[in-house]
Amino acid sequence: MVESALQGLQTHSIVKRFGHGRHSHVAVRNVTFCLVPGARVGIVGESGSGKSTLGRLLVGLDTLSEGRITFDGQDLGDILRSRARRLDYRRAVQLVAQDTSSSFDPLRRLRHAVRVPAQQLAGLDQAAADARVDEVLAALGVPEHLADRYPYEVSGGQRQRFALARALVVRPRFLVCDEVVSALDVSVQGQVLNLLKHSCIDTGAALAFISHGLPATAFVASELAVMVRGEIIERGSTADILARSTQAYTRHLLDAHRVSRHGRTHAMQPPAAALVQPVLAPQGFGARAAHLLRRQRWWLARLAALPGQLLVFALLAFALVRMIPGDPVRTITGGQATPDKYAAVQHSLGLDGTLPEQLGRYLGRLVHLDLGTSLLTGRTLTSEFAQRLPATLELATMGLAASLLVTFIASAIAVMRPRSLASVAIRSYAGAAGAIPDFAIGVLGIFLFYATLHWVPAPLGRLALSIQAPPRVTGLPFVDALLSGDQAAIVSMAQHLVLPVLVMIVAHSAVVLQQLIAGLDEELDKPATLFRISTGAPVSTVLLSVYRRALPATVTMAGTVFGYLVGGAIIIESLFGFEGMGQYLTDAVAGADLTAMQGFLVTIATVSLLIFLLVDLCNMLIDPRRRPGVAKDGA
Amino acid sequence: MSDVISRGQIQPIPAIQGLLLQPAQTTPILLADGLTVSYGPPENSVAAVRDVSFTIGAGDRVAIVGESGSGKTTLALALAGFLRGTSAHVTARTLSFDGIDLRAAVGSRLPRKIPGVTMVFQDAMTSLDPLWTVGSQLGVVVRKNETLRRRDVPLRVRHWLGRVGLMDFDRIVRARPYELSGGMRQRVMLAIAIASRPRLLIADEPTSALDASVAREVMDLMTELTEEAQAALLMVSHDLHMCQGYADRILVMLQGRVVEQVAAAQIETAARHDYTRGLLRCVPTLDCFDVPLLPTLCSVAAPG
Repeated sequence: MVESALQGLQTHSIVKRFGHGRHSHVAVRNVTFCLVPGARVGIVGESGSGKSTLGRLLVGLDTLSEGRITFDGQDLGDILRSRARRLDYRRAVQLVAQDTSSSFDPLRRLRHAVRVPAQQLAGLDQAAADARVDEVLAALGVPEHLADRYPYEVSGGQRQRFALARALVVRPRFLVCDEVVSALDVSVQGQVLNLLKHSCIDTGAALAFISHGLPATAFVASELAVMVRGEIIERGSTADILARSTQAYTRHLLDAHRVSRHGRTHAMQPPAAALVQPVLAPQGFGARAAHLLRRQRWWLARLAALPGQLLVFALLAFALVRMIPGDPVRTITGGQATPDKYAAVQHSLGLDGTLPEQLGRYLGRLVHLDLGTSLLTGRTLTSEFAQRLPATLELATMGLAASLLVTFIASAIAVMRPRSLASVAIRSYAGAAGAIPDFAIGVLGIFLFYATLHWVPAPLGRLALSIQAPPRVTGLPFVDALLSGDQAAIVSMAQHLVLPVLVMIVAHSAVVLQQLIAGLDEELDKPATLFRISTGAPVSTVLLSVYRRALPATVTMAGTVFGYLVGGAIIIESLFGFEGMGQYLTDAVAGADLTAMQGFLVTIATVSLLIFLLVDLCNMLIDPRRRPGVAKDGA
Repeated sequence: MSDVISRGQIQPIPAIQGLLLQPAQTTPILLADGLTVSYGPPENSVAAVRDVSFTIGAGDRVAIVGESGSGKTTLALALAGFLRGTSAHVTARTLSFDGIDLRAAVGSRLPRKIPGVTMVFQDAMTSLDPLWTVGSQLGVVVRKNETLRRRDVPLRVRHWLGRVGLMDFDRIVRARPYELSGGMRQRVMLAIAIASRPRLLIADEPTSALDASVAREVMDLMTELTEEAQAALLMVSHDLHMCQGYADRILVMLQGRVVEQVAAAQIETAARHDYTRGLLRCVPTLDCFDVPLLPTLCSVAAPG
């Protein structure tokens, strides 16, 4: 075939690779292809053959891995780098894609969608653009009143005509159509194909028609190019290819279309070669162990991200504390401090020397888990936090565990018995998620259950004053009480915990519940659920699978709530007089103790990071697709 | 390898053996008379299926053909029992499968299976559960539908995978749906569907997500498996040619009504309704590559 070196769209040995290293996948392999003015070329192939990727490369929507594309003899990369030439190119080469439901702005009328390219690419003014839009729509046989509708108000066939109109409105010289009729009914397909073929013939536009439907392609295109595994294996006139293709693969494709009409092929077909893939399971113990390690290292990849994240938070805490206005040293020492005293305080806060020096010292200490010394108590922050953090974590864990328990029971009722009164109540509670803040619920609870009803003890700590605290073993107060076996302490501590935990349930389970119910409702209606039921899977299995699919979003939400319960422990702890991190922060802020605030930020950030690490690992366990390096579609 | 998984290994369950004694076409298992399905509040409801009547006999292969919005998927869901307890309103003079009334309400949000009816959906990627391995999903169905000792389950799982031509057992049993190719997924879905021992298999657009060659393999396989299990097959599709090749009888749906019931073999000569004849002519084939214009429904006949 004689190819014009200057005119048209031409690819020169182009390669498109997705991903890197072992996971990379070559979608387009060494393709040299040209689309000269006036040609109508059908690119056919089965899914995964790379034909859509080729289409996106032709219109400059994807970058090449290798090779180059020229447009009228000029390099496409150069064209796209210059704004003026890019506009010219966009005007000359238009793409119509398969999915019209997402390619239109749902908030604008269809006329607007067709007019925009006429104004922006063809440079028409509003009146001229409107006239051009009407002209194109009339040529495509679209009733005029439809143009004033929104994309979702017209049928798929009509929307596809608008997509075509949007491309044709700029009088492109080249039109790339990717599976434009595959989603349409046969009768509508005919109409769209007729329009497409004849508007190309009438305007002289060149067409690249990408499709897996051979009959439609054969009708529209005067030439066919057959793609397999990223390569074009054959190209020729439509009549030639249909009548006498020399390629076995092409004949196989043609047969598939011819046979379906005339009944099944009575001999059972052996699975096509493409379906049989090599066995991955390795042989021998060593190989199997190595294989297992390779398969299971997804969590290691996630873990490796942790140090970097910690460093970012450490820097953030450092910067935040230094951005506090005013001179903290003067606040602490008072106006009349001697220079020596001033310098001493400045040193103990880590504020002496230049900023890089301060940062160096700060990071150096962090590596040794040294957060500095509290100015107020004179003790190291590490020991202060070691004493308080477990208590806060225990309270937050209790609150979260209780909230999750309530969430799971409530979600099951809400979803399984949608018409019951309980379900209505649960759904309205979930709907009001987070409307009432926890301190309001806490104050209300204390007023009602302590001050009025006297059902719970006074909110003045974890234990009644008369009872001696159990010896510290783990640092977790309730666990220590259980370990000590001191019945009076256990009972008193439990009594003191009832109201705070209840407040946390009421305040925080609604958001998790809302997420879970929405997820369950969505998953219940999916074909995956119906198919399981239809094949007779037991109810328990169906529910387990529905919950598992709805869980990842819920786990993420629960992680957020847990982070809030730890970081925001200040509210519950101050309300109920519990010792913990929250209370410590209050003191540090009141005393302008910068070191303590900085240490607090770093510690809480670390806890949050660990929580989200746990959330991620949980979700990777629940949904293997979330593990790094997992191909989403093995086709 | 395919010789090992021979037909002899399937032990028919008693109900199926009973059916073997009677000529298939004379035993109606599904009866629908005056079936109407509507959505929305009673005073302002929209009927998706209107006054549809037909029967399916044991072992029949029936196709419902129609364009999008014709109500064919709603009809299939109603027959599979999936509209009970939803906002859809199902009425009929008779609607029963094997003596079970399909109109009976279920109180639960979770649809309930109609014994003997299995439904497969358009895309195996969405029909199979993405989070569980093929072995687990097939194993659950095998355990439920066959009386087996626990340690025999993997053997039966292998058996069913072999029946759909998947020989690479070790890999496939451990694979999750997204790790398989489209054709393999479709085969796995068929294996699970057939392992549930249906007497009626409803397939909603079983091939429209597939390439033509894979579609043909899947339809061949589905026909073979349902024939072997003496199960009736109801396929719902917009692809008239596919239905012509694989069904005995075709029901044409238009705007919620069945406008034509015709034997697939005679559809080109016996079709009476304009819409059916129009549909037949406007399916593009390889022979029409050099015609100036494709026939469309508008150019053939005005629908309705």
